Amino acid sequence: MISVSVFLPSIVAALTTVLAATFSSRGLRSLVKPMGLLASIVSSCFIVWLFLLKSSGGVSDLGGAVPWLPFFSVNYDLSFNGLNASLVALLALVFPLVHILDLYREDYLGRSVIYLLLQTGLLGAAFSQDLFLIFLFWSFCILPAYYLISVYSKENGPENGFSYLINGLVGNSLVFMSIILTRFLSETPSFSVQVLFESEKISRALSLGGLSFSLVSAAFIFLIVGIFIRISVFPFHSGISRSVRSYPSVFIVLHYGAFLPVGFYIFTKLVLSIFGNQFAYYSRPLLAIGVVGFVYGAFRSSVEKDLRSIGHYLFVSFSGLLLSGLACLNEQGVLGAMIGITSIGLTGALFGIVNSALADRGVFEVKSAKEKENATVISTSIVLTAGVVVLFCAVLGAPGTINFVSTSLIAFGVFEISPWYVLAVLFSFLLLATSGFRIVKFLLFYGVDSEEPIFLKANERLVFVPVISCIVFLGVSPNWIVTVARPVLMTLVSALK
Amino acid sequence: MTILFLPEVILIFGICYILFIEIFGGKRREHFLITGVAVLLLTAIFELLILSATQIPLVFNGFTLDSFAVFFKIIILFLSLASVVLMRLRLFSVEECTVEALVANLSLTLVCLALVSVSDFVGLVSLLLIMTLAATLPRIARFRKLRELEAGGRSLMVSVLPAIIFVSLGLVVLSLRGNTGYGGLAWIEEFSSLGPAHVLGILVLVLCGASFFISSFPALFVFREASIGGSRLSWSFSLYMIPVTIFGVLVRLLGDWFFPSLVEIGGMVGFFGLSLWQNLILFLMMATTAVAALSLLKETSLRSLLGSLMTYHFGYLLVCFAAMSEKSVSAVLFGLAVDSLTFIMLFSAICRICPNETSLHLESSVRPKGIPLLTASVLLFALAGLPPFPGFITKFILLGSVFEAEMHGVVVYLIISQVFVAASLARFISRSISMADFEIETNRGRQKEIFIQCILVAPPVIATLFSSSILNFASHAYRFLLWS
Repeated sequence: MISVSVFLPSIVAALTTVLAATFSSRGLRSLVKPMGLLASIVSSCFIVWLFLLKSSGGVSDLGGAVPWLPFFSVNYDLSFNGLNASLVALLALVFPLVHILDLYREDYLGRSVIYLLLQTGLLGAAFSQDLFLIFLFWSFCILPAYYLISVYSKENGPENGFSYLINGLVGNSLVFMSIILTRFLSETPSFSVQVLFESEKISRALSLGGLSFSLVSAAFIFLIVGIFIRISVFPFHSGISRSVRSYPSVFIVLHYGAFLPVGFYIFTKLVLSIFGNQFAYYSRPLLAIGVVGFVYGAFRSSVEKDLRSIGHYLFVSFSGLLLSGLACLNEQGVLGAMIGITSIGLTGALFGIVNSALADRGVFEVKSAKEKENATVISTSIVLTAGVVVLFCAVLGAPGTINFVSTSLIAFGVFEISPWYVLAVLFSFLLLATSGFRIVKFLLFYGVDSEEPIFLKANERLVFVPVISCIVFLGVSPNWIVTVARPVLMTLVSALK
Repeated sequence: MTILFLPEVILIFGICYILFIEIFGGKRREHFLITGVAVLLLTAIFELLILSATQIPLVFNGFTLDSFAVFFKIIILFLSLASVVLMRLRLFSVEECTVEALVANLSLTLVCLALVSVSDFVGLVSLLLIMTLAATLPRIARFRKLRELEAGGRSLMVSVLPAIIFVSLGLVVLSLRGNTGYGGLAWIEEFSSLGPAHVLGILVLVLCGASFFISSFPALFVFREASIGGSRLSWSFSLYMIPVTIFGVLVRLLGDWFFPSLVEIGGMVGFFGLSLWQNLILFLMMATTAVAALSLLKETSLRSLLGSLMTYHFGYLLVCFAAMSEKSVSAVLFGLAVDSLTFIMLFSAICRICPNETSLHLESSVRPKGIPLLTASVLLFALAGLPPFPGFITKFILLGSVFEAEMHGVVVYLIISQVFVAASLARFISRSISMADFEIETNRGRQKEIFIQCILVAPPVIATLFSSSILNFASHAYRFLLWS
C-alpha cells in the first residue's frame, strides 16, 4: 500500500504523457487532463487509509524491508511510523492542491507530469527507512524542479533553473559524502536507519597538516550543511534568495510547503537516529545558529519590499526557530520542532497560494501608503482576505493556529537552556509582526494597482479552504499530532541522554 | 560444429548478405538490407544466450568464450542492433544510411566481438589495428571538408602507437613464457620474478595503449578528434562501442594475471599509504577526469560536449582498477551495460535535435528542437550519474568500494568532480533551452515527437528497477575470471 501511494503518481505521469501524445482529438485529450489530479488524490487517499489502519489497528509501524541491492546491503524499506505520519499527511494535502491551483492553465498537462514526479520523490523520501533510498528519492526531486523552473518561469527561466540546480547538486554531494562515511564508519555496515541507530560508530580520524578530524563529525557536518543548502536554511539561505522572485508561483507552494518540511524531517530523523552523540555535542552552537537565523530572517523580512523575498526570509526565520527547538534536546523543544515541520509546511503552502493569487495579477511588491496616489479600501475576495489574515496569525504564532503550539513548545524548550535566547525570539516576533502587518495593510487597505477588484477563480478559492482549515484545526486540536509523534521522539531523545 | 554457431560467424555471413543484396537486390534492397541485418544481429544475441546456458567455457586458438566474454558480446551486439534500428527509423540522413555504413557497422562489431574473446597478444594487436581501420576508413571516405580528412588521417596514424605498445607488451610476455597467450594464474611465478620497475612498466604500457581508445591520459584528444567530421554513426561507435570493448580487454588482461601477481611482488609501496601501481592508476584517472571536466566548461558544441563527457565517464571508471575488488569491477561492468542503453537513447535524441545538421552549436543560428532537447538533457544527466538513473548506482557502488580500499581523498575528489561536470552540463543545457524552438507545426507532429521522447527516456528508468539482476549478472561474469 505504501509503495502504491509512492509510485502511483509517477506511473500515471508516464501514462499521461503517452496518452496525451496518442490522442489527437480535444475531447479525448480533455479526458487525459485531469488524470494527474486524480492520481494525486488517489495517492493521498491511500495515505489517509494508512492513517486509519494505524490508528485503529494498534500497529506500531506499517511496512517492512525487502532486499533490493544485497550486493551493497541496500534494502527497499518504506515504512509508515509516528515520525513521518504528520509529514506524509502534509504532502497528501499539498500536492492535490498544487494540481487544483494550476488545473485551468493551458500548459497544465506538462506541469502535472512534473508535480506527479515530485510527489513520488518526496513521498519516497518521507517513507524511506534506508539511507540510500532516502538519498535516491530526495536527490531525484532536483531534476523535475529544475525543469519546472527552467521551462515555466516567466523570465530568466534557464538561468534560474541553472542556479537552483547548482545549489541542489552541492547540497546533494555533501549529503552523499555523509552517507558513504556513515555506512563505513558503522560497526555493522548497513544503510538501514534502524541498524545504524543500534550500532556503534568506529571512531576514526583524518590527519591533515598536523590537525586531526573525526570522520564521524565530518559526516555529521556534511549532512547538516548539505541539507541546509538544499532547503535554504540560515546561514546557507542565499542560494535561492536572488532568484525566488522569478520562480513560477506554484514552485513557491512546493518549496515552502513540501521541500522545506521534507528536508527538515530528513535532517531531524538522521541527526536523532544516527548522529545522536554528535548532535548532542554540537547542540549549543546549533542552538545559537538557530536563534541567530530566526532573528536575521525576521529582520530581513521586515525590510524587504518584494512579496516573495519577504516570504523567503520569513521561512528562513522559521527554519532557524525549528533548528533551535531541535538543538534544545529536551522534550518540549524537540516535540515543538516536529510539530513545527507540519506548521511550516502548512504556512508555506498558504503563503504560496496567496502569492500565486497575487502574482498572477501582477502584484509583486508591497507598497506603502505614500506610494499610492488614491488609497482605497480594497474589495478582494473574502477567501483571499481570510487567507491573508490566517497567514498573518500563523506568522505571529497566534493562538488558534498550529504555529502557536510549535512556537510555544520551542520557546519553553529554549527557556530551559537560556532565558536570553527567549528574549531574542520574542524580539524577533515583533519584527515578524511588522512584516506581516505590512502585507495585511497593503492588501486590505491600500489596494492593488489594477483598477478591477481581485476576483478569484473557483479553483483558486477552493485551495484556500483545506489549508486554512488544517492550520486552525491543528491549532485547536494538536493532540492528534502529539499522540502520533511523541512516543517515537521520546525514544530517540532519551537515547541521546 | 559449435564454431558454426558463434556470433562472429553469423556476422561474417551478414557482411556477405549485404554485398549479395547490394549487387542483386532490386528497388527495395534498402529495406531488405537493414531488416536482414537487424534479424541477423538479433539471431546472434539469441544464439549467444543459448550457448552461454549450455556449453561455455570454450577455448580455441587464442579465443575464449566464457561468461565474461558473453557479457560484453551481448552489449556490443545490442549497440550494433540499436544503430541498425535507428537507421531503419530514419534518424540518420540519407548520406549516412549507405551500404558501406552497414558493412562498417558489422565489421566493427565483428572485430569488437573477437576482441573481448581474444586471449593472445598477437590476436590482440591484429584486431586492434583492424578495429581502427574499420572505425576510421568510413570517416575518411566520406569527408566533406579538408579538416575532416586530416582528422581521419591523424586517427589512422595515431592508431599505430597502441599497436606498437601492445606489440612491445607481447614481446615481454613472449620472453617470459615462450608464447604470447594471456595465460592465467599458472605463470604468476614467472611474472613475480620481475622487479617492481618492470611490473610498473608493463602496467604503464597497458594503460597507455588502452588510452588511445578510451581517450584517457595521455591520449585525451581521441574523442575530440573523432567528433570532427564523419557520420553520426561512426562518431557514436568511437564514443561508446570501442571504449566498452577496450574495457573488456583491460579487465581480462589485468584481472586474469596482472593483479593477482601484484600480491607476490614486493617493493611496491607508494604514496598516501597506497601501492605504486595504485598511485599510477589514480594519477591517470585524475588527470583524465580533471582535464575532461574543465574542458566541459568551455564547450559550445553538443558533439564536443559529449566527447568530453565520455572522456570523463571512462576516466572515472578507471578507478575500479585502483580499488581492484570484485565490487568495483562488477560495478564497472554493470555501468557499462546500463550506460550503453542510456547512450543509445541519448544518441537517438541528439539525432532529432538538429536533424539537418551534424550537431547542436550554441553559436549557430539554427534553433534546436525543444522537445528532443529536453529528453537529451535528462539522458545527459543520467549519463553524468544523477539519481534515479542506473548510472548513479554504478558510481555509488564504485565510490563505496574505493572508500573500502581506504582511498578517502579519491572519493572526495570524485564527488566534487561529478558536481562540477553536472554543473557544466546544466550550463550548456540552460543555454540550449533558451534558444530552443518548442513549436511543432501540427498536433500530430507534436504527439509523435512526445511519444518518441517517452520511449527514449523509459529504458534507463526501467533499468534502475532491474539493477539487482543486472548487477548479479555482471558480478557472475567477473567472478568467472579469477580473482582470489
